[in-house]
Amino acid sequence: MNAMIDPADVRSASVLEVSGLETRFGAVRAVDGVSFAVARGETLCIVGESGSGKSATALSVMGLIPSGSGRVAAGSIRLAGHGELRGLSDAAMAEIRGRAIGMVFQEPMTSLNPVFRVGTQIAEVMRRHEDISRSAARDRAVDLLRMVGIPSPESRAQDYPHQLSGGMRQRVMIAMAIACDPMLILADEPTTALDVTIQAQILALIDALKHRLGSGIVFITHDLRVVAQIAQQVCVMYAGVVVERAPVRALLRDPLHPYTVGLMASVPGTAPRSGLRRLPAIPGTVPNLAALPKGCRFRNRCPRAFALCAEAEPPLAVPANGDPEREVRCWLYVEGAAA
Amino acid sequence: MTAPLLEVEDLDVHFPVFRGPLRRRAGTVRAVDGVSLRVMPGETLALVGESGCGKSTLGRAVLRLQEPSGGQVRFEGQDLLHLGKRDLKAARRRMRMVFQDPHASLNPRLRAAEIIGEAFTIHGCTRAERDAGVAELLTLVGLGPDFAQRFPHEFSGGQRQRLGIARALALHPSFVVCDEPVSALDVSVQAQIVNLLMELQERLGLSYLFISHDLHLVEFIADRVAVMYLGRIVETAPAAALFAGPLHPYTRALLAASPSIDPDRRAADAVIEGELPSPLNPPSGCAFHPRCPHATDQCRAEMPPLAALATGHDVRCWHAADWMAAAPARAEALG
Repeated sequence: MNAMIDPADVRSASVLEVSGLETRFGAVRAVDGVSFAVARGETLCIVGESGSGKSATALSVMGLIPSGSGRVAAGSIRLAGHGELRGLSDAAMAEIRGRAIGMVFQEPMTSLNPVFRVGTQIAEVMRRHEDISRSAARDRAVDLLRMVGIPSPESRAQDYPHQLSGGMRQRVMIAMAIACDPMLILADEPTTALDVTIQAQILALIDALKHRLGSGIVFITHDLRVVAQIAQQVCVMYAGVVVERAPVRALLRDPLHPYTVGLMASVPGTAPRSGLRRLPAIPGTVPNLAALPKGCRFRNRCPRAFALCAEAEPPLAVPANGDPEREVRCWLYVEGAAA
Repeated sequence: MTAPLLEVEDLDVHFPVFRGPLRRRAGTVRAVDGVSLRVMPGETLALVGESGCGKSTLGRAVLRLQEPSGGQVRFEGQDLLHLGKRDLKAARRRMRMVFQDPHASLNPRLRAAEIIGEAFTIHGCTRAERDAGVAELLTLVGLGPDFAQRFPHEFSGGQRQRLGIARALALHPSFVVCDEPVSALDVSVQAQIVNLLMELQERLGLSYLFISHDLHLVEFIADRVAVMYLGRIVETAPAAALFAGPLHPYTRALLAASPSIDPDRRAADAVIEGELPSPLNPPSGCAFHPRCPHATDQCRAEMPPLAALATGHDVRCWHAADWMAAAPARAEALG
């Protein structure tokens, strides 16, 4: 299906390459120069709080920024075999979504059509993108439901979304996302609305499918524990920019950016227990994206900020004397910059 | 031994279910079914479980925001379920609630001073008492009196939850039900609010019934933990004992499913199958048996009692003694 990809560079080549992405909603720079790449069979987690720009990044990649309120102002979004996506017509993007890019959202109830049976909705995705008969599509829908772990898939295919539990609806969403063997799966907080036992099931399913299909996955979450469970690569976003990028082990064992350090420490159970029953909290809140402070975006909340941080924004760069596989946007790691 | 602040005995909250064009009674959902628990002064009892297990209904029933169908609630020595309107209103000065969603639980058309001040007005305080109280509460929760004239939309999520806490603390309660108070907040803000709740508890001697699905948070904040499944408590223990040696297979599954922040401890192997059964048609015997890897014929036939296995450690499982004997390993996934 993805015949345009040369199998020889399946491992090394990126499925998706985003560079210099800028997305604006009026004066709000929701995404302000974001670059990342995802390889086949790799899960990249984009982690951040609300207002970090993580969801706007995902919407930009999918071409789903509502044209009335926002626009992708700069940068490039390249999908293997399809080239540059930015600037494609809505019709061309609609062809790519669902076929080359599968999508899974946080709340499956709002992404599924309540008046159609779930089997029909999955079959519809294939009918739209592939030359396949109605009955063949229906059979494959049942196969897909089985593949995502839905018990008695033949009868479940006849159910309407409201007849399914939240976990089952998310499985249906995943079945729809993988219906056309996408090379990229974009999942935006897919387990946030689910209970922990169901979350564990869905994370295991996504990971198993990745191995089976070899797709690249962009997984957006606010939860560092979920990152630990599913990611190979991680981008930490803050106020519209990537502040740290690293392989998952390096990031969670040895976070560099003061924001990542603070975020990890504030997760209960990660910091060593002290006599005083308090969590190490990051003071303050995320800055207003329409009126960003000069210099580093995190400096007002940063315990290690110094004079230079107020003057200029640090670049995202390999840390001085550090691991060449990671990058951090902080003056502390720029040679000669720290006081 | 000091007397418990709150004592819940065999509490039921049952909802009739009507179906079909004639709205015939199709059955009963036992949202809370024979729950007993105690909260001591200054203590945090955490109530954990998945959505639909009845933990929020229990929290509301304890305050009589939801009328229980049976059982007893004693608060500060009073039989809460048989109080008249006037006495109930008086008791409610002492027992308050913090809600999950600070966006939905604050009236957007009222200023902060009015939101907090409402309680003073309802309970017949003077205007001067009210104004002084509002200023004091705003300071107490770390906002400051400058915020008094602002509307909720002018607050960030964390500030809004501070406002919700200030409202709950008006009139000096001794007991606060916190229903998922931080789960709608950003991670970095969650820690601020958790710290505020703990600081207030120490300063004011508050008792909390802390309802949460986040086991890591519960381990940090709770003195004791009660685990609910399908309307019943399946395990209750001091927090340290529960997290070090969970005995009920459901508690173990919850701990195992709760993701670790260590990328080398992935939970995939520990995943339990299935989902919470319908409370309208609960399984026979032990409600957990369809998902339990250790279920036996006895589990399928008979509901086990909540039995004490160690001091303060009660478990509703026919095989709990076996798990106890098998030197419970700390749930691998947590940490």
